[in-house]
Amino acid sequence: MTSESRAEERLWHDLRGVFDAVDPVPADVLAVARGALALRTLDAELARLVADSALDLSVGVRDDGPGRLVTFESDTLTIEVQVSQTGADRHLVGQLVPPVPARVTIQTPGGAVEVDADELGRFSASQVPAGPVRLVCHRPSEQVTVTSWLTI
Amino acid sequence: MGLPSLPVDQLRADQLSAVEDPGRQVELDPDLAERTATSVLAATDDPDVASAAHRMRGLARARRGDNAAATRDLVKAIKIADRVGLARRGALARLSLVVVHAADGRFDLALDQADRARPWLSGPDRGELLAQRGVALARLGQAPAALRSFAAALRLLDPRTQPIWCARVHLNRGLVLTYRGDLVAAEVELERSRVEFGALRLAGGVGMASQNIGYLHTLRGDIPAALEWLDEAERMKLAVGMDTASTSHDRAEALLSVGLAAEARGHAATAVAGMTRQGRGADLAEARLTLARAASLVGDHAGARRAAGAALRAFMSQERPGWAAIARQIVLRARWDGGERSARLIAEARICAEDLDRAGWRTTAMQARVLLAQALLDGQHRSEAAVELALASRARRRGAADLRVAAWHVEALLRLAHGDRSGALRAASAGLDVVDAHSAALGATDLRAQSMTRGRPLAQLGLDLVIARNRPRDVLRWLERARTTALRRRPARPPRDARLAAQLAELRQVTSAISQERGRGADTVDLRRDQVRLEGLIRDHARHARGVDHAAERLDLDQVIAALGARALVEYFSAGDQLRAVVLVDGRCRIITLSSYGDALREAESLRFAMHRLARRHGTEASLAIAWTTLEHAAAALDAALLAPIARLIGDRELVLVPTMRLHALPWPALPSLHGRPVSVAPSAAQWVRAACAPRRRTGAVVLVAGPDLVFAEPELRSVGRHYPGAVRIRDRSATADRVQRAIDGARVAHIACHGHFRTDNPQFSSLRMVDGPLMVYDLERLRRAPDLIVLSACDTALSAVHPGDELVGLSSALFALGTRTLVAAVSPVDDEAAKTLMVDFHRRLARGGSPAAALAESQLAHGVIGFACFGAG
Repeated sequence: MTSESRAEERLWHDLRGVFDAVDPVPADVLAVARGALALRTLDAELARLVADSALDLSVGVRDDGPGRLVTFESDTLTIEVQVSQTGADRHLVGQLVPPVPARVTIQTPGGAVEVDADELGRFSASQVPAGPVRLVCHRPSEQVTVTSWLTI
Repeated sequence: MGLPSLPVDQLRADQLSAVEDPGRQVELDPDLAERTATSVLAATDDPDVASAAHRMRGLARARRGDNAAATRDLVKAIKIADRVGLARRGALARLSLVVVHAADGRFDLALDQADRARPWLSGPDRGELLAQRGVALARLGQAPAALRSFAAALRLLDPRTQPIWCARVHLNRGLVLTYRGDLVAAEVELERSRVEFGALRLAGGVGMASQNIGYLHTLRGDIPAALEWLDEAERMKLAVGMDTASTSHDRAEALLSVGLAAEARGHAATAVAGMTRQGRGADLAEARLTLARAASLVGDHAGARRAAGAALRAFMSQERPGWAAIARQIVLRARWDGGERSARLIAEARICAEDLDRAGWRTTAMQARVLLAQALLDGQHRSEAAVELALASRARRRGAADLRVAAWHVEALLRLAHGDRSGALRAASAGLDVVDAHSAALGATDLRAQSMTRGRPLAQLGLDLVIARNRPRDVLRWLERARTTALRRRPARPPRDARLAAQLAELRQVTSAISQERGRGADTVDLRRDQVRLEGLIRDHARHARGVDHAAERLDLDQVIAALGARALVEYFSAGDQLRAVVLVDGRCRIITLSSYGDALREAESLRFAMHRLARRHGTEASLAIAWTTLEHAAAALDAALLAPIARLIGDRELVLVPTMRLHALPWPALPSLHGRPVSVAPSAAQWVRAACAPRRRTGAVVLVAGPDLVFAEPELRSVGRHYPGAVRIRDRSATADRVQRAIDGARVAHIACHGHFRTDNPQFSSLRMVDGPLMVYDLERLRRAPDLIVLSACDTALSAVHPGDELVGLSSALFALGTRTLVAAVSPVDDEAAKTLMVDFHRRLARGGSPAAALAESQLAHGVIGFACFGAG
């Protein structure tokens, strides 16, 4: 390592110290960032948000519904999710299409909850904190699927 | 001649008079008093004036809730006076410090200051000191000494020159008497204090007196009155900028006493936050205790243990052993509920019960004995348990409701310990009678619906007993005994309450403005704040309603059997996670064990999720195909869990189903064995038999309503109308909440096609959408007589919040309580067009003379729609 690059590293280190002291990055942002980086090491495909009943105000049903319906889609997997409110928390019910058993991780900035999808591809998770979430779906002998972040 | 200069003596006299008598100024306007004192302090170096000014500022700051700053000022006032030997001035500051220290939980310091002030004060001054000392003694739990101190104070105080002091002593004496349970004498004192503060035009004092009267009503069990007084107290205190943390605490206690644990917990948390901010240690510890009790009642054992633990540590350091024992009882209960079974727990519970007895906390002592007895029985120490229980069960005939309920619980356990099962059952039933009588005082639906929470342990105990005896008829009677007490009484409401009507109308405007603004993509923050405020006002105001005091109906099994005829009654219930059903067919009653409740719930959730996606046509073709598969799978699984085990008993009979807990929201017609079968779903057998035996209404209008923003509502109205010549039709701009409400009052048939909305957070605000905004449950409760048959062609209108005892709150329960016999409504989202087709066919069959349940079953079968169910008398 040259002395120049060492000096530069030193400068960066000092600068970071200043920012940590003056304007630290919020812990949850760090967690999200770390999660995003960690994911890059996985061989994962991204499932994008393609439908969200919260944005769809068209009428065809006689109510506001028992919850918000969202759809994530990747090349190989569709994930249907219903989000309902239980006090301050959220309750998720989901369906994998095509239906397969899988392990579904619900990631939030504060942590993660793991649930199993049954042989019909159904899963549910209660007491998910409100805020950003994303789902990571591990199917047997398939690529891992990760959804984009969604605020619930 | 120059201008006359103000004599120095005159200036000093003016300054002194500005700060010398702080009482009234601080009462009237603490902010102004603080500013006056500060400006006097800046302008004087006279120790007498400065000491008086510091005292006034200290009192003003204490009044605002800033005890730390108050203490600093008062200590300064004492120091200044002591330095120059102004003994009386110093003693006056000390007497003010007594109460501030007491509020901080520093009782030794408080009483020490009182002792040091005493030699320097005489006559009326001494009266003030004794008044303050009484407060400290009361907070310390030394009630007799406190009352003596108050009595001595009143002999010395001069009502003409010290009217505020007199009013305060009456206030505090009233509070001590309240804590002692001498409610009659307490009310006299508090009312006197309120009148005296009123005559002095001191809103803060009136507020405090009102708050304590509210608390007194809580103890008496008159919760509507308690809430009314607490609302008044809060208004008064806010008007003079006083802190309302203690009002929140009293509100939490009132709500807790009727089992509204979740809401009580919110208010207790508010109180804890406010008191933490102000550093009011004594109050804070008590508020934490209330928070712990609320957490315990909602089943959050860890939360209860945390809050009670914090309270316990505070009470220990404040040297308040009586209070500490209450906190210990909650910690012990949380440990037991959390699964701890140990000899140590038994030993600690015994000590705790004895400490509570000594401190005179009778109800809590009883609760500790119940815990102790449970632990002893669990450890097979039967005879020891019997000894403990015998001590405690004496209080079951008199005293506050909570005490009697706990004592009956103890008595039931005692009889059980002696092997007397039927005696135990009678005791549990007597305890539930107390809960029942208590809830009879409540008028508002949301209060009554949760009042059974307090009877839950008794209901569970009784259920275990009747199940063990395996007498199905007793099980059915007991289930009904502990179920839906709220629905057995008509809600009491002020039908012509102008204030409530105006608030509902305003809320309607705000809600409709929100949906308009949101549609435009505009910011709705202010409107939503208005909505929350109005909803709070309406809820609080509705809670002032008193209950109609008449006994709740008991189930007459012979009447049920006669009314059923060839139908089968299936009443579901669960003990722990085990679902069971009582099946009553041809007068024969059986109990059948079914699946786990949790498994059934998961399938029910899956079913509703699939129905939701299909109704919204949400997702790709492949996704929707899977939704169908899931729906069929879940429906079959539920059928296997809930109906297959009783298939032989019920055959192909018409059914009356009484679900339990969250199965109330199950779309029953989706289950394969119910396709095409007439089914009525009811909240209880008692409610069903009442509806079924009442004569069908022959007179009254037929009212057809089409709400806004539904493409198929109008065609539905036209087609349905063909079967009802002369029907009142309301649509377009005329479909306002007010118009619809007036039209359906007393109607024979009402059919309403509209958007519906179930509110999980507050089911009493669940609504039907009219052209000018929502028609809410609170609106429906203002009907004199709800329609005999009402069809809600809207989504999720049959959903209810389910409280312990299967108490339901929602649109359907409100309608049943007000005289509706039959309700046809959706238990899931429904597709607009499918709903129209189904409803037209349903009314055609009804007009041909079919029963509602049969007509609905046939129409759903013919059109493949499964989202609707028939409730009440089919």
